[in-house]
Amino acid sequence: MSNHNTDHAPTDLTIVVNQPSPLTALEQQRLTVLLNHCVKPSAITIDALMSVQQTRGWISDQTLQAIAEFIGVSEADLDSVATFYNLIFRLPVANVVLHPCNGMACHLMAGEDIEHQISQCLGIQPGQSDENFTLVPLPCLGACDKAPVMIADKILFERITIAQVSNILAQLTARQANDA
Amino acid sequence: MMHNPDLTPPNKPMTRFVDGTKDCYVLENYQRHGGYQGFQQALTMTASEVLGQVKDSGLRGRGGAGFPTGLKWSFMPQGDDTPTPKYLVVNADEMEPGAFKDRYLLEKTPHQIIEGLLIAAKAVNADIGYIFIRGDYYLAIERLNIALEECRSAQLIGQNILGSGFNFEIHLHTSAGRYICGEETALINSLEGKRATPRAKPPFPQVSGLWGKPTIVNNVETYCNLPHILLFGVSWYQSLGRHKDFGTKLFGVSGRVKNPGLWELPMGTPVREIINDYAQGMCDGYQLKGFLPGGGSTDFLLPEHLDTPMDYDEIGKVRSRLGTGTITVLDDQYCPIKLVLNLVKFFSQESCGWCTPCRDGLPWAVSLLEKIERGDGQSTDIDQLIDITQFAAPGNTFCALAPGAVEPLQSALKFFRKDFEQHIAHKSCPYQQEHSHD
Amino acid sequence: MTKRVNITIDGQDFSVDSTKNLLQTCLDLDIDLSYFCWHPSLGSVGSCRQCAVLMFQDKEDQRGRLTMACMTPVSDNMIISVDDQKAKDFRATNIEALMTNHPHDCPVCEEGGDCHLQDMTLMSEHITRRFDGDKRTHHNQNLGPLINHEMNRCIGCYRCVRFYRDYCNDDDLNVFGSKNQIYFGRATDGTLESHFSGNLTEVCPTGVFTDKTFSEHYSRKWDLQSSPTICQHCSVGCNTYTGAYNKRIRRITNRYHQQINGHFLCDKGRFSYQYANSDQRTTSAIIRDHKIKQAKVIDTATAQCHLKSWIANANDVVALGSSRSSIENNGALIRLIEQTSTHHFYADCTDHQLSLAQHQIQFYQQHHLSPCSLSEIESADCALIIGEDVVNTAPRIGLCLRQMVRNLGLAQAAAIGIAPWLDQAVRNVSQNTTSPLFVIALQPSDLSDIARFHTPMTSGEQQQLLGDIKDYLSECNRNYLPLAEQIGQALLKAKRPLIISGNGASDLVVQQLVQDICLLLQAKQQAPLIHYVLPAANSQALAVMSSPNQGLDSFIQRLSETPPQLLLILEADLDWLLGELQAQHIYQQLFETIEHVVVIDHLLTNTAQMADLILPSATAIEQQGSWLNSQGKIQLSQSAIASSDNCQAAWLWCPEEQPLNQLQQYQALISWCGERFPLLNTIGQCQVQQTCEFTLARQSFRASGRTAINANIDVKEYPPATDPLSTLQYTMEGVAPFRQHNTEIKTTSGAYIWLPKWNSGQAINKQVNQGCDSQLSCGIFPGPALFAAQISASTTYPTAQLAAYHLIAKPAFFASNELTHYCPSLQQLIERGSITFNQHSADALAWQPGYQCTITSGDYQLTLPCQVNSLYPDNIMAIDSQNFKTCAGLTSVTILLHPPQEQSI
Repeated sequence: MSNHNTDHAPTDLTIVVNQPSPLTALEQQRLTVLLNHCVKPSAITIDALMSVQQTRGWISDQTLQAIAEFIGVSEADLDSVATFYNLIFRLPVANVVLHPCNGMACHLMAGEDIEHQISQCLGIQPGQSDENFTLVPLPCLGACDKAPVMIADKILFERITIAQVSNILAQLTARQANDA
Repeated sequence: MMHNPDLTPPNKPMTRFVDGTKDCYVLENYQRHGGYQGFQQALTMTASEVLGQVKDSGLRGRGGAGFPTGLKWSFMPQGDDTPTPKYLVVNADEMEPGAFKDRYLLEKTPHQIIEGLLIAAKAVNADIGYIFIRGDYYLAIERLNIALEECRSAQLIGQNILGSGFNFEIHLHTSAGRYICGEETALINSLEGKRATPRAKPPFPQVSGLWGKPTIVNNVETYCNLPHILLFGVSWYQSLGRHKDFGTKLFGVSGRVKNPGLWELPMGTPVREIINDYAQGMCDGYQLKGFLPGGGSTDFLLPEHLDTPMDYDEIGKVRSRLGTGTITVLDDQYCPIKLVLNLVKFFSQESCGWCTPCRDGLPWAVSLLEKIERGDGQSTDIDQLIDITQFAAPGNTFCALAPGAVEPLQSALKFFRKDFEQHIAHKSCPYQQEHSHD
Repeated sequence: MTKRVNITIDGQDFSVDSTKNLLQTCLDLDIDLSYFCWHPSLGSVGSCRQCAVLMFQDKEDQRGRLTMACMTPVSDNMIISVDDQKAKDFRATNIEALMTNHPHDCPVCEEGGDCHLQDMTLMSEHITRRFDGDKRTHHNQNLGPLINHEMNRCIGCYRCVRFYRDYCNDDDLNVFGSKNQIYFGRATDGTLESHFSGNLTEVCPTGVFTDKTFSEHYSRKWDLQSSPTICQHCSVGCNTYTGAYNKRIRRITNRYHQQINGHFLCDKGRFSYQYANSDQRTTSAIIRDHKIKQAKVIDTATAQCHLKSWIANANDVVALGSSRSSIENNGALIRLIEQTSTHHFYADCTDHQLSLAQHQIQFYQQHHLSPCSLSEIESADCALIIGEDVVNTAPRIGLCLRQMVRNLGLAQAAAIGIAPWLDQAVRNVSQNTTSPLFVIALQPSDLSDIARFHTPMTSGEQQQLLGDIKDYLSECNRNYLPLAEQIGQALLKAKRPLIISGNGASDLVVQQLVQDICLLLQAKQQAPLIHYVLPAANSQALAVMSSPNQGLDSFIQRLSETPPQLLLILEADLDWLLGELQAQHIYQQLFETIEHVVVIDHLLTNTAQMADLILPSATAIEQQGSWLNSQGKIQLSQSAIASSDNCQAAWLWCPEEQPLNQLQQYQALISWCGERFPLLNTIGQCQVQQTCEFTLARQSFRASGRTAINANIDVKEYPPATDPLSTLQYTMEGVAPFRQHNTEIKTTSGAYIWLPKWNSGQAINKQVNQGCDSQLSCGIFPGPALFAAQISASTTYPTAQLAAYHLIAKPAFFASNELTHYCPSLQQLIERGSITFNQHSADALAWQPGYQCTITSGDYQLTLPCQVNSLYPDNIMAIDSQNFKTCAGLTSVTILLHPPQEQSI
C-alpha cells in the first residue's frame, strides 16, 4: 500500500500549469523587503519561497529559477530547500488545499473516515486535485482534543463529522468565489 | 516596580489570562491580570539574579525533555568578550502527535510568551529573539503579530525598553512544515534558511547556535512559566507541585474520552485524575486499553499505571516519558497495531534523511507493521521489529526523532504482544473497523 | 610534536595522537573499523552511524554504550571495544538498513570490485537480507560526459555534496527531498560545473557516481594493470595511478601524496587520457618525400638508420624540446644534437616565458629559497596571488587556496574547543570568516568569492601596487595606496604568509617586485611560502635545460635567418604552440629551406604531417620518465603499458653509440643528464632499485584472462612483457603493493591501492599516516629543491596590440591544455574561443548583444563571439589563450564588431 503523504503523483490535474515566470512587482517588492533584513541571501530561502507561493499557490521550475536569480542563490540551493519542506508545493495545487489531519489522535476518532469521505465527494485521492481542491493530508495539526480536524484556507475545522464534509467543501468553494 | 499588592498568587498562573472575554489576548487584558509586571521586576535585577531565580525555581523545560531551564541557560557564555549578538528562540513548532498545548498558549496568551521571552533575555543578556512558529497556526500567527505590534508601541520591545537601557528585538518566523523543526538544532538550521537537519552536540547551541552565536531554544510553555516565577517568587512556584516537580503544567487528553481538552494543573497530578475527573473518563462503550502520557513519541502505559503522578521522574520510573504532558488514550476497540503503524509512519515520513537508523530503519518498521496489519505478517517480523527498536535506541541515532519513534513501538510489542500474535495467527486484524481503507 | 594519550582498544593499550578522532586512530592502528561518511579531507559529521564502537566509562563498567568513533575525540585512559558483540550487531544492522533500498546490482555496477560499500558490508558480516518490502527508486540525470549517475545505489552518506559544496565551493550539485527519498543531483540535467567533479567517483562509496569515460571501455579493478604515474597536464605534478588493460589506457585515479594532491585530482588530470587511445596516434615510422608527395611506412630499424645518417651528415642541427615530455626525452635530444658542430636546442615556450622561468630559478638559487608544497599552501594564513590564474593553470592549487582561507575560521573554532575534524561545527562557528586572500591580476578571478580583493588591474596599476607593498614592507615613510597598506599589514601579521605567482604574470617588472616582496618578508623572519606556477608539466625542467633566449621567438628567427640542415621536433605541435597562422608560415616558407625535418611524437599533429620523417613515440603514461614540477621535485612516472617496438619512448629514438641494453642506456642517459645539468644531479635518486631480488606486480593477483587474451593471435601463452627499467613488472607474479614493506621495498610507489578487506580506494586511509615505512609507499621520493645557473633576463613585456587595445590571453580550464583536445569525452567541455572586454570598450566599439568580433590582418581573418565583463579594465581585450597565440603576432590589425554572420555550410 502506498504511502499517502509521499505519493504525490497527481494523475488528474486540471490545473493550468503555464504560469508567467518573471516575478510580479509585488512579488519582487516582498522579496526585496526580505533581502534588506537578512544576514545573507541564503537566509531567506524559505521565506522567499513561501512569499511567492502566497501569490502563485505553488512553485514551478520557472518560478524557482526566477526566485533563485532574484535573491542570488543557485537553483540547486533553492530547490534543495524547497523540496525539504512539506508546505512548499513543487507541483501544481488548486486554489484550496485541504489538509485533513491523519495523525494518531484524529485517527483514533475516525479521522480516516473524514479523509475517505472527502475523497468520495471530490473523486480524488491524496495528492490529487480537482478544479477547486487539492487533497494533502497532514499529520497532527495540534488540535487533538477537537479531533477529527482539518485545516483549509487558513481555517481550522474541528470535530468534523462525515455529514458535515460536503457542507465544509461548499463553504470553502463559496469563500473562493467571494474572493475572486 | 514591585509586586502589585492586589494580586494574590494564582493557582493557575498561565491560564488565568483566558478570562472568557472575546479578546483575552490583547495587551490591555494581559496587563489587567498583572501582565509584564514580572518583566518589570526582572528589569530591576541583574542578569545573574534573574537567572538565579529561575534556576532556584526548579523549572524544567516543557518541550518534552524536561531539562532544568536555569541550568540550560547557565551554559551560555557571559562576559564582554563573548560573541554577540546572543539569540533566544521560542520553539513554537508544535507538531508532536497528540500535542496541542502550545497552540492554546499561542492563540490565547501571546503576551505571556513575549513576557517570558523578555525575562529570559534579561537573564542571559540576549540581544535578539525569534519566535519560530509552525506556518499552519494561522490564528496564532495573526495574534502574535498584533501582540508584537502592541509591545513595540508600548516600548516593551526594541531599544531602551521602558527606559531601562535594556535592548531586545523580537522577530516572528513562520516555518514551512516538518516535524523535525521542533528539534532545537534543526530549528536553528531552518532559521538560517537551510534544510532542517539537526546538528551534532557538542558544541551546544549555547556556545555555537544561530549563525554560530550563543543561542538558547526553549519551548513556548517554558517561557510562559517565567513571568509568574519572577512576579510571585520561588517558594510560591514550588508550592504548586504535588510531587517532586514544581509549578503547573498544561495537561491534555485526546482520544475516546467524554471531555477531551486541556487543563492547567499542578505538576504531579496523577493520570487517573486527569483522565477520569477532567476528561470525564472513557466514552460509553469504550474501555481504556492503554495510554501515551506525553505525545506520540512516548512509551505506552497501561491501566495499572493510572495512579502514576504526571511528573518527569515518576513517569520515567514506569519506563515512559512525561513528554508534552498531553495524554492520548487508546481505547479497546482501536487496533493497537494500527495506532503504532500510524505513529511509526508519521515519524518515518518526518525523518530529515540524515542518519541511517531513522531514514532507513523506520520505513523498514513501517513495512513490517503494514504487513502485519493487513494479515501478511510472520512471527519473524516481530523479531525484526524488536531489532529495529534496539537499533534506533537513544545514542544510536543522530537526534531523538527515531528513538522517540520506537518508543510506542517497543512498548506496544511489550504490552500488546498478543495483538501482534493474533494478527499473524489469524492473518487479519481482529479489530473490526467499519471503514477499512486498506 | 602533538600530545599523545593512552587508550585501550579491546584490551590492548596504545599510545596515540590526541588530536585525531577515534575512527582515524583505529584505522591508523590497522584496525578494520567500518565507516562511510567520514573522509580524511572532509572531516566527521556522524551521519551514517557505521563506525559505532562501544565505549566504557571505566574498568568497572561492563555495559558500555555505543558511540560513533568518527565523532569521538580520543582521551586519556579511554576504554573502547570494536569487537564487542553489541557493537558488531549494531554495525551489521546499520548495513542491513542501508541495504534495504540498495539494488544489489554489483554484477552490472562499475563500482563492483572497487566498492567501499561491498567492503563494509562484508566487514560487518551482514549477509542475509530480511527486508522484503518495496525499494525506493529514482530517475537518473545526465550529468555530462564525465560522470555516470545511478541514484538507486545511494546510501545517503552525503559525501558527494560535502565534497562538492563544502570543499570545492561549487553549487550546482545538492541534496533534494528528505527522509528515505533524498536525491543527490543537479536542479536539472546538465554537465556538472565543478572542475573537480571527477573526484565524486572516488568520494562516493557506492556506484552512484562513476567514471563515464571508463564505462566506455570498462574493466574490473582486479583485471587492471596499473602504474604509479605523474599527471602531465600542468606544472603541479599530481600523483596518479594509470589503469590499463589489454594494451589500452582505461582510467586515471588519484594516487595519494600528502604534500601535493592529497586525495583529489582536477578533471583535466583525471580525464585527459583518451588521447593515448586516440586514432590519431602515430603507429609506425613514416618517411615522406615531399617532392613526389609520397609517404611510406618503414620499420623501426630503417627509421633509425635514416635518423642516424641525417645526423651524421648534418653540420647544423636545430632541436625543439617539449614541456609535455620527460626529462629523459629532452635530455636525449640535447645529447644527440650536441654531436653536431653547430647545434641549438629550443624550448617550446616564448623567449619571454623562458626568461621569466629562468629568472625565477635564479632567484631561488641566489637566495637559498625553495618553493613550497601544496600542503604548505593549505596551511598558510594569508595569501597573495599575483598575475596567475591558478584556478585554470594549476587547478589543484586553486582548490588548496579554498581550504587555506578556512584557517582563520578553524582557529576560531579551536579557540572554543572544537576540533578541526568536527566539520559541521567548525563551519557553523566560523560562518563566513576567511583568512585574507588577495588577488592581483589582469583578469577577473574565479577566486573572487573567497578573496578580499580581486578587482582586475592593468599592468601599470599592478606595478604601482606591488611597489607600494614593497615600500611598505621596507618601512619607507611615504604615502601608500590604502590597499597596499592593507595587504602589507596582513602579510606582516601572518604567521605563514604565502605568495603565489607564475608565468601568467608575464611582466618582468612585476616578477621582480614579487621576488623583492618575498625577500623582504624573509628578512623579517616571516618565512614566506613561495610558489611559482609554470605553463606545462615539465616547463621547469625545460627552463633548466635550455640556454637563455632559446624560446620559440628565437627558434623562428633561427629558422628564418640560418635554416639548419636538420630540424628535430620532440612532441610539439607548432599549430598549438604558435597558432595556425605562424605555423602555416613555418611549414610553407621555412620547412622548405631545411633539408630534413624529423618529428618524434605520439600524435599525428599538423607538424608531424609536415615532417620528412615521423618517429612514433610512446605517450607519457606508456613510458618511464622524470618530471620536474613547480615545487622543484623530480618525480618519476612509470609506464602503465609496455610500449611496442614501433612506438618507443622518444629517448630510445636518440640512442647512445655503444650497443647497451635498454637498462644500461637508461642509466647512462640519467647519468648524463645529471652531469650535463648540475641542477638535475639528483635525478638518479628517483630511480627505482634495480638490484632488488623481488619484482613488484603491476597486476593484482586476481587479474584474469592472461592465457586467453592473445588467443585471437596465437593459442600459446605469451610471456608477460618485461619492463627493463623498473622493479615493477607487467604481471601479477610479483610482490603485491601492500606487501612491499615486508620486502623492504619502500623506495617505489606501489602500482595500485589495495588491502585485504579493502578493495576500494578507501584502503589508503589505513596507510596514510604510517610514514615511509608504510605498506604502500605514498608518493615517491621528494626530489630536493634544486636551483642553479646564472641567467640574465632582459626581455620586455610583450604588448600585443589590437588597434588601441592591449590583448591578453584568458586561460580556460580545458581549452588551455593541448592533449585535452584529443580526448573525445572532453570535446563538448572545451571552452569555445571568445573575446571579452568591458562595457566602456563595448560602447566605444558600438557593441550590441549577440554581436561578433572579426579580427583581420592581411589575408587572415578570425571571427569570435563577444562577451562583456565590466570587471576587466579599460583598453583590455581578453582572448582565449589559443587564439592569443595567433593574434599576438599579428601586425596591422583591424577589429570590427558586427551582427552574427550566417553559418557557412
